[in-house]
Amino acid sequence: MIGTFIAAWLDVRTKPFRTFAAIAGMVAAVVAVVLVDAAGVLSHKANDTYLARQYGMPITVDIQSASGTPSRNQVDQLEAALETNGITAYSLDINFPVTVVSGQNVVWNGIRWLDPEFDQVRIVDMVAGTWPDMTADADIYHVVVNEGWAMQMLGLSDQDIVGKTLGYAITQDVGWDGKSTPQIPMVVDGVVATNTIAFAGGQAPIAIVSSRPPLDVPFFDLNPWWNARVNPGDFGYIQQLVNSIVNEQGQPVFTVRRSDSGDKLAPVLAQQDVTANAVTIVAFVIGGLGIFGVGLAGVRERAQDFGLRRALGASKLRIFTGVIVQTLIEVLLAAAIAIPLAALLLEIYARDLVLETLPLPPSTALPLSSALQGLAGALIVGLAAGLIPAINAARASVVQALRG
Amino acid sequence: MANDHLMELNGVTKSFTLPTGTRLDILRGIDLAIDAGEVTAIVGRSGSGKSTLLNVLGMLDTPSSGRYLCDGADVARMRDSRRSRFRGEFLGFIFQQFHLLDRRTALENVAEPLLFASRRDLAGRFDRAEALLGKVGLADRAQSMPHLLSGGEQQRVAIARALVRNPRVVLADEPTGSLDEATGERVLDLLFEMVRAEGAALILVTHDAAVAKRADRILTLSDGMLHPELAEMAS
Repeated sequence: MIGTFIAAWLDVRTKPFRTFAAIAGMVAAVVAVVLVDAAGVLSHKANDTYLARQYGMPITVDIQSASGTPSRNQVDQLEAALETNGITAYSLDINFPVTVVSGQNVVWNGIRWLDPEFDQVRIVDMVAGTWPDMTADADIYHVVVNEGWAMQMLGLSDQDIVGKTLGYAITQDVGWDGKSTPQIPMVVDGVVATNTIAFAGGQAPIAIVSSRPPLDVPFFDLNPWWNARVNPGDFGYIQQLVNSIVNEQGQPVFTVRRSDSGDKLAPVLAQQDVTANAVTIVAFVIGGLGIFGVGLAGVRERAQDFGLRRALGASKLRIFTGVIVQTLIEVLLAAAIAIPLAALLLEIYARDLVLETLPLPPSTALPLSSALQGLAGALIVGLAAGLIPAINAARASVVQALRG
Repeated sequence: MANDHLMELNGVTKSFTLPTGTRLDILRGIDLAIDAGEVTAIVGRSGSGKSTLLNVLGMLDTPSSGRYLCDGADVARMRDSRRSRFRGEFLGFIFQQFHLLDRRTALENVAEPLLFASRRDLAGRFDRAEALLGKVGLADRAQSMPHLLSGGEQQRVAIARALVRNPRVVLADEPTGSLDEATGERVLDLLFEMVRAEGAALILVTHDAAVAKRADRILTLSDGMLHPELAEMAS
């Protein structure tokens, strides 16, 4: 077997042009496959990054009333069920007022929840601090301010303003005063990069304020929902748990769904996966055809060599194995060229490959899984493409071959 | 006794069916025994079946009927893997067209049969190949590519390759057919010397009477039959 491997390697080494012709298509195929797969992986990672930034991981689910307002008893049942099953990381979310201010002016005011569906806010990059957590039950307002604003107004750096209490805010007429005693504290949770924040109309506000709901309204009259963080694998279990709470008619009182943008992006990412699979198939077919064509021609061209080897003691199996090994060596060479090339291209073009609405993940290094997929795919395709040439080589008549 | 001979053919025939349906009998009941250290020349006209007989002897082709014993083993009963291993260990081939691998050095060509040998032989293949190249006077051409060697040198490389696994029998098909007379003579001298030094039997297929004359015994292939009694005619 070692001898067969050496002979195959010598064939590859001593026929550089033939080898190049055989692997050129496969190099392109592996680059395409690895890049497309990596783009998919990075998009998923970008989505995870986005979700983590917005909600923290694991996934976030929303539990809502299926119809009408749930009774206090039903709410207690739900919360007890969640807690009994170890789901303590949940928060009660209610539509609450949000005010977007620019300078002293209110530019938008309404009942919204600061979530990805907030149509005037798109994904932002944080310069310092974090995006406000969901703190509807807190007695403070949480704000983010623009990059550089703190220096301009208060002489503080972006890092130093995080955690500072700015002043007070009221729902309809928000003011700020860094020196006054706050009536309702307005705390800076983070600083957003002005170059990445995008608001409708192009006007970046000074602050986005999230406030709590009016305290005098019973929370379960506000059509509440629960925002729970669960392991993605537990989602089915959560569904069963929530659906087990039923009304007198036996109908589930609550519904549950994933509330992170995984739902929204899932079809896009799925489409990207489908495209990636299509590209993978087409690329490997083209690469495989290259290997197959050159392999077939090579076997015909080297019929005499195979005949000679048979005369020198090589069995049909050794000839067959030799051609297969040679094909696999060529494929490995192709992968050795293609994978670093793909890694380089990914570093350069990561921004173009990942969905533009998503932030780039912290690392755009080539995912190992993509490299392995490219390698494994190439080996499988190479094996398949080398099969017929190998069979031809093994079945060739020694006498005819030596007669030339 | 069959086991006394290195090779023994009993009533071996080889026939082909032409596309027209006509049966062509190339070998018609060949009886032949080859003994250790013996040099046998097989002569005959072009198309008489010399090469077919050599292919059968070299286990590269199978007889249509008859029995072929090689070192006492019935070749027809061997599976391809065993027959190949047997061929590699037992036989060495020398061809008229040399059949050197064109992108391999002389050394690599000589070492090539050892790629299909045992691990020990594989590991020491270049030492063995170098030694043989030295014996055929090509030590200084070990790294030369075949196209840079003369015809005589190429055939010397082929001789070294044929002997690299210490075969019991060397099969040479018109070994001087592509060489000029003087070179052919020198190559033949070397072949005989090497074969005798290695203690191998040599079966020489040739249409050249002068070459055949150097053998211990001459057999003429005519009408698909071997005729020892016609040896005198060949010479």
